[in-house]
Amino acid sequence: MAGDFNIWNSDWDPQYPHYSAHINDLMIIADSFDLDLSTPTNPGPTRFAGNPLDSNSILNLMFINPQNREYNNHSIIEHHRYPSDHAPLSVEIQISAKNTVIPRCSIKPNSKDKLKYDSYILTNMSSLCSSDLNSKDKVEKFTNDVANIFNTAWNRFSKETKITKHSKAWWDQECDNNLRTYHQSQTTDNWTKFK
Amino acid sequence: MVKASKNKFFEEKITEIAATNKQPWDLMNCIKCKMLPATKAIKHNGQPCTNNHLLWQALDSTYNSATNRHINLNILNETPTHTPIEWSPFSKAEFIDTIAKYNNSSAPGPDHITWRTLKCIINNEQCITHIVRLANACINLSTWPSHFKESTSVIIPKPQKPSYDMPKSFRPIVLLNTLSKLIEKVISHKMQFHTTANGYIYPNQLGGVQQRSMADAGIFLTHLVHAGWTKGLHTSVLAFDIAQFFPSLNHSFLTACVTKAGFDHKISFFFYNYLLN
Repeated sequence: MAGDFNIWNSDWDPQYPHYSAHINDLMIIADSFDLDLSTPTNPGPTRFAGNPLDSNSILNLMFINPQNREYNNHSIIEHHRYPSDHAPLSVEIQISAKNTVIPRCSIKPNSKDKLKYDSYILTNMSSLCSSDLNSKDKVEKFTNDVANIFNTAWNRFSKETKITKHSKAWWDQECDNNLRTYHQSQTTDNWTKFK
Repeated sequence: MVKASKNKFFEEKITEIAATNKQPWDLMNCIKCKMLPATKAIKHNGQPCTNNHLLWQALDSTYNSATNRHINLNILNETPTHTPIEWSPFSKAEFIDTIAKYNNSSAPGPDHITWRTLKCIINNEQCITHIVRLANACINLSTWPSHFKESTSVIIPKPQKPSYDMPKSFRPIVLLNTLSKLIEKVISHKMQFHTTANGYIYPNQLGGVQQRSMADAGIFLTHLVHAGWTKGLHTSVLAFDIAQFFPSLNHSFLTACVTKAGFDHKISFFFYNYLLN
């Protein structure tokens, strides 16, 4: 939980002499999510006064679960403040492998790869020998051979695809070629042709 | 160009849906899917499942609630035991007829083989010979190879549930390897033929039996109502649903039924091995 809480309070801003009336509510809310106030690695002000005579203050806070490695590990990036009067807070969150996107593979129907895939399976499967399936082990081995053919064919001919909500099922190779022609030439004619 | 591609794609889709497979429900893919409500953790026994282990336990205990429950096989004693009939080997025609019914667009299992690809395989003379021999070997040796037991489970949210915080709002779908599904279908077709031929299936069993349908159930019900009316009576209907019926089927019970239905002993053994693991 992070942001500009707009609460002046001596707990996190030693230069400010008073306690805020809202601090209890904020702490109760943070506690209900098992969060605690995180101290930045580079303590300092987060809000910069427009008038050089006024003092800078600490208003931007981050609440993190103390068990997490991010706790007491966030920082204030003053040089990324630009014209704003607030400095951004930054924290690095470790993402484990299981959270990353798994690429999906596919073979487009009616494509050249699909033909190659089918013919690979047919050629290899027809050359197997099934005349002596007379024991459990042989049946098991035969199915494994078939499974290996399917697997090899898939690995060899499938391509990685990223399907997003913007992907269109009707998009084909022709569209791709025309778009590329337009990108290279940048002419209105080619754009009309693409459309 | 884009317009032409779009037109071509949708023309092909329309021909496929209207003429080739006649499945208007395939159009459902073309409408925007309804967003699921904001996600909440699935609760089990009042506690939210916060890690994979807890989630697995919640799902497992919901869908497999009846496994390892004690059953009494004596209730089968009332039904007559049919004399075993000889199981004839499979023919190529059985495979060709069975596969023709399958929708090319159904999702494949972990082997990525679609029905369309399997249809190409079946059309190859040598490949179909291999598959028929393999199926016959499975029955004769009462075995079911481990590759055929591999599956991918997909958990799909059921539509229009008020809340999605219970495992019951989801339905698990098991995608098996396509080749094993084909062999299973051929076996089940043959088994149904045998049980129908020797009269093992109860005449009022209408679900899952070929040549019987919803309409038969409706006709039977209206017949009962009319029969009541002629006697000057009112008919009330009590409908009930057996929760978790399919996953609750006891495996040893099923194997005992197969023997009772007059199948060759190798079929009962096959079934025992098939249900293992």
